[in-house]
Amino acid sequence: MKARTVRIWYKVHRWSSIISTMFLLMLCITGLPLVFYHDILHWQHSDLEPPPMPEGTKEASLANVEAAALARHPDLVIPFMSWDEEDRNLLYVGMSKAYDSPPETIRLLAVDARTAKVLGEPNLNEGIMYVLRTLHVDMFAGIPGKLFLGVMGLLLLAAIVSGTVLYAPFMRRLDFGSVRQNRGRRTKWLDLHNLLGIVTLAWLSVVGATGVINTWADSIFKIWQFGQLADMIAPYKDMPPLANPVSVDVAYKAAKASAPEGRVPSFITYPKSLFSGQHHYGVFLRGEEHLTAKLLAPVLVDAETGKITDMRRMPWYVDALFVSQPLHFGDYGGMPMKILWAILDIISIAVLVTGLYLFFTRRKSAETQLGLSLNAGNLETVLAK
Amino acid sequence: MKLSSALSSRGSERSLQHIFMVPILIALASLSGLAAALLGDGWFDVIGWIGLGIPAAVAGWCVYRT
Repeated sequence: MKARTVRIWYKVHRWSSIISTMFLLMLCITGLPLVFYHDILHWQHSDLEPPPMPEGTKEASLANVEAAALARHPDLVIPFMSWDEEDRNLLYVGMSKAYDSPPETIRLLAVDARTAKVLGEPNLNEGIMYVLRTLHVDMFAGIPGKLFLGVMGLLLLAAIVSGTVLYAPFMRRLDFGSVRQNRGRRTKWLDLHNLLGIVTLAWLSVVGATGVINTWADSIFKIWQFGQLADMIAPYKDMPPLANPVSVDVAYKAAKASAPEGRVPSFITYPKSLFSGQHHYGVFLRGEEHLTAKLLAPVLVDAETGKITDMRRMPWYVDALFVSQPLHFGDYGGMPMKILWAILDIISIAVLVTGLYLFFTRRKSAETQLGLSLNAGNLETVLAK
Repeated sequence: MKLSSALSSRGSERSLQHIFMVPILIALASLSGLAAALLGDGWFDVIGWIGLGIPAAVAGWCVYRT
């Protein structure tokens, strides 16, 4: 590696870091409690858990669930119902002013799927966890905020790649893991930065890249809506508005009856919602295995006739989004994994802080070490090997 | 080529292979851990904990030593 090449990578590393570090620090700090988001929610809303009932208690009809929800909010409509991923006795009923209201305005009712009793209405849009989550997702700036953080994530990836390249010239004369004690504080922090950075390389790349993918969720949904969904409902485009929709139970039963082995409904969307067009119920099936639970298959049921009109697998870009989510959240391997996620997050914070320190202290020593200073010109090919 | 002999005469230069050996092993452990836990439950999760435990433990050990 020539000195000029090293210099270029050094600049990439410096500039990608300067621009993104403050935002990455914010993401790492807000992300730390968010690793335990679900556990905290469960603890905050333990009253919403369906009470134990004898094994095999039948589920209530969805029409009853619907009626219970509407009795509570007669002025709202139901765009969707969704089953809890872990507890199928727990149903979330989405309620909003209009079927096509934006997702963030939809309130959720927790309903016992066996008794159709409303368990409560968790307000997810208040409190410290809401603030932390919104800061982490879009900094209260909506889709532009999200996309901006996505760009910061791309800069993180650039910093990781350039940092890995620079690891080589810095480690020319050092064994793995060495932290020099007696060469001053800057050298010690430099060694720590290099060590902790290279150790978290793979994990932070995955969390960073999947985080970037998550910032594209809205566009991915739009592409699906105007792509696969539009294609599935195309024959119904010019039909008169729906007059007498069949009950949601008809759609639910039809989809369940024709669901392939090992696929269960994950959520149901109503006609006029953003998910299934003007004329259809959408029953979204998921697998029951760890990974297949992230892969959805929409079944469209004609709300006039109650017959299934189309059933497909989600396109690859939707699958990619849903598979990238657990890899970003770290919520797929039990509590030990969440704890490791938190530890690796703290190590990443240390990488950012040591990086900031190195930036604000003299850069000369680093440049000398890289053989970049003028009087070290004869070292220009030290890393030719 | 003459450069590499010049380098080895200094004695302390490490090859790229040498420099990146441990980091690559740690990265492979992390990635296998991330993938294993995604593919299943039970033992797959345990592989996940070990895989991700390795970078955390190495970082902890090196920092503890200083």
